[in-house]
Order: sequence, then structure tokens, then C-alpha cells
Amino acid sequence: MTAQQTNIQEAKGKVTTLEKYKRWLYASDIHPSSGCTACGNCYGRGPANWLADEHNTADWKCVPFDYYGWRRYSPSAFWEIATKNYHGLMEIDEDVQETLFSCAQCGLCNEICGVIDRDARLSDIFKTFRFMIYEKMGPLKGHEKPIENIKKYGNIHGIDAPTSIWASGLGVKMVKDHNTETLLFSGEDASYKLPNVAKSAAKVLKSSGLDFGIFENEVNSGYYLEVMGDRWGAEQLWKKNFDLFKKHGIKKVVCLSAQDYHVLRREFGGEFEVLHITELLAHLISSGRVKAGNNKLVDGRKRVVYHDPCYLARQAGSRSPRERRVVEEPRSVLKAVPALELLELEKKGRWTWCAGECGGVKQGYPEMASWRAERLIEDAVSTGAEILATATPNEQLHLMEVLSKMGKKPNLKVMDVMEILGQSI
Amino acid sequence: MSSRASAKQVWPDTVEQLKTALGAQNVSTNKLDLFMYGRSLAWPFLMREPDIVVRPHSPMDVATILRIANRARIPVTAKGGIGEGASVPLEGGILIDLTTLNKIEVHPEDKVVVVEAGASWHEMLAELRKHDLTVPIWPTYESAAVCSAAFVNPSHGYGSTRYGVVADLCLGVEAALPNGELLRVGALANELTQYGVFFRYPNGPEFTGLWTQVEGNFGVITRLAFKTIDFKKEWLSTQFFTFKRDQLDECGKAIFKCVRSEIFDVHFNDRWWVIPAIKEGVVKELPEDAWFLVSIINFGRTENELKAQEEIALNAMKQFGGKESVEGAEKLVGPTRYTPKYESGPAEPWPAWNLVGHDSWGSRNTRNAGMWLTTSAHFPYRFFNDVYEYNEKICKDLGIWNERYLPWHDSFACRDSFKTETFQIYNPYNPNDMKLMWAYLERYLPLQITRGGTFHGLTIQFHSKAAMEKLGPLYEWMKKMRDELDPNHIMNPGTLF
Repeated sequence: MTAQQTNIQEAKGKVTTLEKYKRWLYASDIHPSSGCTACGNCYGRGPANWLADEHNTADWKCVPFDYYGWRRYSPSAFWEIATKNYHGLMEIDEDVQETLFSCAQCGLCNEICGVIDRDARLSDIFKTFRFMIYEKMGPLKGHEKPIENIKKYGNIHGIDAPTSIWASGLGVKMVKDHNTETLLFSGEDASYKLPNVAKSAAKVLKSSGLDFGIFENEVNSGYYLEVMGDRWGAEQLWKKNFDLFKKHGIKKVVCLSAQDYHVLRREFGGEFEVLHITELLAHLISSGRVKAGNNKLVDGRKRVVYHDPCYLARQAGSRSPRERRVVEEPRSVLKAVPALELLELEKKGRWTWCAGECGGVKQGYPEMASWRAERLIEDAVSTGAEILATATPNEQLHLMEVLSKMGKKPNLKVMDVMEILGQSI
Repeated sequence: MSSRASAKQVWPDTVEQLKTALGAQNVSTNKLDLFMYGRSLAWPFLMREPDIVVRPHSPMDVATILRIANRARIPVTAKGGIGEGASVPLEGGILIDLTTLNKIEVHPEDKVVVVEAGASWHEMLAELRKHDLTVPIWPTYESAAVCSAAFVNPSHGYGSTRYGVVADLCLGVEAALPNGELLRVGALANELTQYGVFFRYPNGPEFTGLWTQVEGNFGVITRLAFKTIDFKKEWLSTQFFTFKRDQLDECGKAIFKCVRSEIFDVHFNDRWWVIPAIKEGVVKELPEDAWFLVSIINFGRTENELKAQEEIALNAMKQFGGKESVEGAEKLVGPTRYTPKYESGPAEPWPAWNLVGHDSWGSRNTRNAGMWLTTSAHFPYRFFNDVYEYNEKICKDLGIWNERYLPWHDSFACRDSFKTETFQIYNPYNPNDMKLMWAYLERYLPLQITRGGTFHGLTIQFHSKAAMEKLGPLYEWMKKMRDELDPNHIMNPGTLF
């Protein structure tokens, strides 16, 4: 049975199993089948390859392990618990729920672990096991309200307003009124909380002459439902999005959020061209359709450090580990702005560290999520940066919230790449 | 002699004492923690959960833990990042997670590094690289393998052909004793003097070696000092040779010649080892009849030195009929001297040499086969043929000499001994595989004893009696020493005694 057939069969019964990952769970009815060997690389304190010149995971391995320090909060534990459950040797209970949902789905384990490869990701096994936990236990404490909000209002914030609210008065075309093949998918954070990101993106795209439109009211991408364990709820949203894109003849979907981008590209990549905004902009810049001016950046700041979102640098809308990375494009966009000096974090590219927003940990494990964001802010400050740039409003919002609560506030501004570029147009 | 307490009888009090001493955040009795800390690389064969897990953040924390445990007579086991059989808490009790004890101090002026027991070997090597230094033995386990385990084992690794085992490069040890004292031996005994840590042999008898292979029975190692040498990875180059199945004797002679010539590292595998790499297209082709594989790492600080090392190895291999494969070297070991611009190429021109580290050779084998059972023992070189042939015979008898079980040899030609690791890859959740693995161990391990093999990793748990008793009066002397240091026998009971 193919993975797709398994999915369909499971969907009929509304019961998730780990069957499609059994090759990585020591299933005894197939060969080869392997799994966690307990080698410790995913929680060991040291680089995975000490001879490598790049600084690779020497002191960071996995967000919950780095925060709690106990081995049960490590990919090895998540994998082993899932394996034991697959073999009927460990029941799902509150401890298992609390442990598995601490995974931020950042995907760093997929870079570190040498065993799993090609057709599956460790983080996907954990995510699937979380579906099973959700089906048995319901949502994790802290996830009830966000899930309810998404189902009732279509966004995690529980805001009862159309997602196009940010575009009011800007003359951005609505897809329903305008025959366009390119959709700008702003996502819930840029729509409601950080409208300047969406406005900047629209301004830049307009300057390029690109024909695009937005939905009056987007259907949620399903990212949060999926990572919070509500698989069937997420699949409903994907179907709605798919039907909507088809209905309006959309060919190209341009996402502002890396999380939305990952989910939509992964699910619809074969049917529609799904791009992150930085991928599109890198192309428009290199082809001369977007030109940044020499304007000064906000408050005269010029030193910018870029943080790679996990969903661009590691996952990037793919289904297999290490298959795609969107790493150079955001940097190309920033480098096009003459007024800025681009700096780099030590934890960058494939080894980037989660900002603490993803995977439902911001809602389920707020202290851990804040801790992680604070460390990232400290890392950014230590580079001498005046602006911490991200390429996903979800992370930006989280970092801004944490920064505003830090006792000794660093002189740092958190901005989206689009906002920076938008200022220079 | 004194009886140990059942941890469960006293643990509520002990847990409170530990929380007071270490902070509540450093003490866990969560069932999933206990489960995870009961695991090791030996988990399919040996799995025991502790009752309490604790995390020390200083050597004094370890001493405090031991004092509390000793008073309550609760067993104590120290565990690094991975663990094989020796760190499985056979009688439960307190398990010390040493990985929070991980400070590293480099003293380039004395070419010494002082590390806490739970610092990983990879972390130490990465830190030393910042100073163009290394401890020139590079064990193949993962970034979780800690320095104290590498010393106690005593680990071998790449570099062992010239430099021996990790313990040979150790200058001193600090250990917490069951009575709560911290003892410094070797160079660390002089740590607080104006001349500091520089020489293993202070006045009087030297006790550093006492802490090798002790498996935590005398106390818990908290810090170590190692000597270092100048190192840049540009000073390395690799070679790779193949031999046919009927050239086992010649292959062994060629290897031994390289050992006598102090080549930096000589490594021995057989074709099972490389089959997944061939399948995955990493290596396009090796001669079809190539069965034995010899990987060589040369280390020379000048072009001439490197060239001379290569010439010695090449002559030794060719003299006994080995065939060189540059592709094999580049794809399976690391850059050769002829690999164009390897130092300025992609970010990771050197493959991870770990067993299952990312992008490593071992990860290919593991993902294409399963969990591994490994035996690990040092033999005199004269048993090179004997050990290989005997292992093959057992595997054939059991029906595991095939691709399904990938029974590869992975052996380090060490300075003083031939260190053989045999691998069998199996599915730990398959009862038939488990039976086969037990049957393999029961037949193979006795051979190790008769050939002088010393035991490492998970095997020490299974054969402590036979292995230790062959020491005769020395084993009795060890017991007396243990009675002096650990009168309540709380330290890792069931491993050596």
C-alpha cells in the first residue's frame, strides 16, 4: 500500500496510525527497517561533525532539550516513544502528550540524525504521532483556544474580520474582481497583527509591475491545526484552499509566512507554484524589475542581521529531509538594499535555531518559547546588529512580543525583510 | 561488606535531599526520564531504569550526590551521553547525567586541555581546533560521547595507530569518592600549584591509570586533563586499498607493517561495510573481488612529511598485494592529497567519521540495515587471521553472513593491539533476530577471552565474571581496594564485582 493509499484509508476511519513510517520504526515485517539507535547525536553536546568548518549544532540540538535539559525532551526520546507505541509497548498518556508536544517542529533533528533520510523526516513522525495523541487525548492545554479560534474565525487570534483588512484603501486588487493568476497569501499574522509587512510586500510587488491579487478573506493555511495535532481539521482547510485556488484560476501562490509557505507548497506544490515572497523578490531583483533606492532605513539604522526561519532554511515546502532550502533568496533581497550592512548569526542556514514560535510551543510552552526568543535576540545583539530581520511574520510577532517584555531592552528592532525592502523603494 | 538499600524504600527522603542540594530542576523521577536514562547502545540486550536521575553542574555537586547516596546506601551509576552496558543502572538507584558537567579549559601554553567529565569528545576537539590543537585520537562515536567515558573505556579511534588509546594521552584525573571527597591524581594533583597541570607523574605512585576501565566502581570521574598536539585538518590526507578474500594473511601483514612505521591511522573493514555505500551510489565502483578494505589517514605537518607517510603506507600495501583506490579514499574516508582544493571546497569536505552522525558512513549502513550489535576487543596482531575466520564461521553457521545482517568488521589497528569490532545489524523488535544475536554473542565472546581480548562497551556486563576472573590475584586486589573506597558497595554494582 502506498503512503497515499494509507492516508486515504486512514482518513475514512478518521484514525491516524504510524504505519506509513514503519520503515523507520523497526517494523519486523519489512526489511530494511531501522530506527533510533540511541546514539545520542541529537542531544549530545558537541558538533555533529567536529571536522566541519561551519559551526554546526555544537551547543544546540533541539529546542525542548536545550531548554529543559532532560533526555525525554529530545528527538531520540520522541522517536523511541513513538516506536514503542507502534509496537504496542507504550500507551499514550498525559506524560507522553506533554513530552511530544514540546517538539517545536523546527526540523533541526532532520539535519543532525544520520539514520533517517530520503523518504521521511523525523519531525514528520513526531507530528503524525501527535495526531494520534490528539485523537486520543484531545488538544494540549494551551492549544484549545487557538484551535477554537481557527475553526470559528479562521485565524489563531480569534479576530472576526476579513484577512484583507490590511489592504483597505491601498488599491490592492481582489482576486474575485480581477482575473489574475498570482495570489498574494498574507496569512493571519501579517493580515491582523503586522499589516505593515503585507503593505510593504504589496508596495514592492506593485513597483515591479507584477499582476497579483489577494483574497477578500483567505482560508487559513492549516499550519497551526496540523502542528497542534488536529490533522482532520487541517486537511479540511487544505481542501478548501485547494478548491478556492482552482475556482479562481490561481497558478501562483506567494506567501508572506514561511509556515504557510511550507504547508501550502508541501500540499499543493505539484498543482500550483507556491513561492515564498523572498523567492519571488530575489527573482524580480535579479531581473531588474525591482530596484531598491538608497533611502535610509528606520531611525537611521543600517546593521541588519538575518535570522533564517526553520521553515525556509530546513523544510521549505518539501517532504524529505535536506531536499530544499530557501537560504540565499532572503539574503539576496537584503543585499539589494544599498543602505544596509548585512551581518550573520552563528546559527544560520541549515543550522538555524528556532525562534520559539513554531510547532504550537508558543501557545503550549510559553516560557520555553520566550526563553528561545530571548536567546535569539541576545545572539542578534552580540553581532552588533541594529535590526533583526526575519522572513516570516509569525516569528517577527513573537520576537517583538518577547523583546517588548525583556527587562533590559536591547537597542534592536525586529523587522520583516519586506518592510526593509519596502522602505527603500 | 554491607548491604545496599532498595532505592524505593528510601527515595522520598533522598529525592528531597538531592533537590535541596542540587535544586529541584536538577532532580527527576519522571517515568519517561527514567525510561530514557535506562537506555544505552546496549538497550536491546540490557535495559534497567534508575529510580532517580540527577544533573550535577560542578564536581562538588557530584561529591554531594555521592555523600547523600552513600549515607542512604543507594546504588549510583554515572552516565555520559551515549552509554553502553557499563552505564546501565543494573540495580536501579541514582543515575548521574554527567553531560551537564561540560566545561572545557584549553591551556595552549602548556599544550594541555582540562575538561569536565561530561564534556563531549567532539566538543573538546572542536574547541581545540580554535587553537590549532587536538588530542590526536578521534573516536567514531557521536557528539554525545563524553571525555570521561572515552578515558575509562579506554577508547581508541582514528589516530590510535600512532598514539594508542585515549587513556595513554591522559595526564590526570579528578574523581569524587563515595565518602564525598574529591581526589586529584596525576597532573591534576598539582593543579593548585604555581606550575599547574603539565606532567602526569607527580612525586610518589601515579594513580591515573587506576581510573581506567573502573566503570565507576571506585568513584565518579569529574574532570580530566589531556595532552594535545598541533593540528590542522589540512595536514591530513587519506589512502584506500583493497585486498581479495584469499589475501587475508597478506592484508594483516601489510597493516602490521604500517603499525610498525607509526602511520597515523590504519583502519580495517570488509566488503559488508561498504555495500550500502555502493547501493546508494556513493562509490561508483570497487573491484568486484575486493573483500578487505584498508583505510589510511596520514598526518604530516609539511608536504614532505605527508608525502613520506604516504610512500611508506603505499609501499607496505603494495608489497603485500593491496590495490589502491583513490575514489574509495575520497568517498569513504576523506580527501586525498590529490583531491583538488579540498580545503576551500564545500563546507564539509570531510565526512563525519561518526558511526551514525549526519552524512557519515555509519548512517548509511544503519538506515539500510537496522540496529547494530557490536563486540569490541583488543587482540595481539598474531590473531588477526584467526579472529576474522572464526567470526565468519560463526556467522555462516547462524545464517547471518549475508547482506540482511551486514556482519561487517570495523577494526582499528592500534599502536599496541589490533582492536576488532564485529558488527551484526538486526532488528531489535524481531524476536528471531534477538535469538540470533544472543547465539552469536554466546559463541563469539568466549573466543575473545582465549585470545587475550579485553572487553569494552556492552560486553563487559555480560562477561565480567569470566573476564575479571582471568586476572587471578589482581581481581582479588581490586576487590580489596573497592572495599576501602566504597565500603557500602554503592558504586555501579554488578558491573565489575
